[in-house]
Amino acid sequence: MNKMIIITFMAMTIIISVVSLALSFRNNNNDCEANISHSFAFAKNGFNFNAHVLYHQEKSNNGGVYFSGVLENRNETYHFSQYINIHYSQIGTDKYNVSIKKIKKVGFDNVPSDLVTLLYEVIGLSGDIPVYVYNRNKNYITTGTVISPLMSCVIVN
Amino acid sequence: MRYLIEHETIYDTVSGEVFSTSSETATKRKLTNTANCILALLVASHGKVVERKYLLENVWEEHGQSSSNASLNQYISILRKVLASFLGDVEVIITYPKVGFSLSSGIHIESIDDKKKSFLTGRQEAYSNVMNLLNKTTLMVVFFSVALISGIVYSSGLPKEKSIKNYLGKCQLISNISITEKINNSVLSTIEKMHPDLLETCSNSKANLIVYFNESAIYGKKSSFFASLCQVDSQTKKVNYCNSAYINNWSLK
Repeated sequence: MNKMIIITFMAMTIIISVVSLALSFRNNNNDCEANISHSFAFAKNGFNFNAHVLYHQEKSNNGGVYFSGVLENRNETYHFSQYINIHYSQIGTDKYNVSIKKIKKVGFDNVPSDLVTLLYEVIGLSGDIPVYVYNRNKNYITTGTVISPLMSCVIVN
Repeated sequence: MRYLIEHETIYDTVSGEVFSTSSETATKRKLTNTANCILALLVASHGKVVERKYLLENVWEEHGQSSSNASLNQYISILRKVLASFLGDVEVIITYPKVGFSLSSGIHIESIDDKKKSFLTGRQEAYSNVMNLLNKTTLMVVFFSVALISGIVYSSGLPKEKSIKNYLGKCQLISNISITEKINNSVLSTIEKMHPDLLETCSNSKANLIVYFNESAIYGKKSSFFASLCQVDSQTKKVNYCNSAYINNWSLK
């Protein structure tokens, strides 16, 4: 009888451990979603954009960003819809170097290439300046450059 | 008068009852007359120190009863236990040795009557209600606590979010800079432009409002300004979504 209790107890412990491990992997999901609205005054030219950002964690230190929205520059309005493959490396506490490996247009996208470069520069994806994780909460993070936070991204389960 | 404490607990100063809004099965606690008098005085002076002498005079002596510091301490202890049963291990009543007590300014308290009005009326009243709450907060402490600056800086010099409970309506404010009464209107106006739904959101639902700008802005310099409004699910306490806005050439007006 005692043997049965011990075996049952051990079996239960193993099942609980496996389930906990599975759940912990599930919670390590780094995919996140953000809505951003940025406004830049460069001399007399306004440069504004509203975007929806979806970050998808790929293999280690690689990820994909689906970036779509509307951009205004010199009274012209453009639409953008792009999937960017990025590579990142940690260079300090909550400090990362991020570089774009590939940009792929998805659907309708009429942003001139010079504005695309500018767009990714101002949100810290050019690789020239580090990206910081400012705030790390239970289910969202706030990222930005050394100048300022730029977006809060909600972890998607 | 009925008060909503930390968005979930109701305190009725007339009946002396304390109960939770989050669960129908939650226990309702009825305070003794003495405990109720003390709590009512503390709530009425939320965030301010109420002196021992004042409590002894107004709770006991005015009713012809003899008072003592020991009995006051005993009632404070009872109140702490009652409030902890609803609010958890939060320091609600702060002791100022040999001076008195205060209800922590970090605890969010609002009059339910005021809240009902703001739900029933439009944006104008919602604005007014939030502004009233805002003014109350700023009178009790400075709008964003100075502690934000001191304890939240990374080794890299970047601000880290700290869960200091300062509120704009139901929105928890998190900022890298202490926003004093002097700059409060300008900052609020900027956030409103970036998030036109700010006041409505903060009147109706819980949210985290993260605000960041450079300290030099206080001294008239240009700064970037970041404000992120993250709506919190009232059940799971998790953030549902965030809208982040950024401008690069902002100055205080």
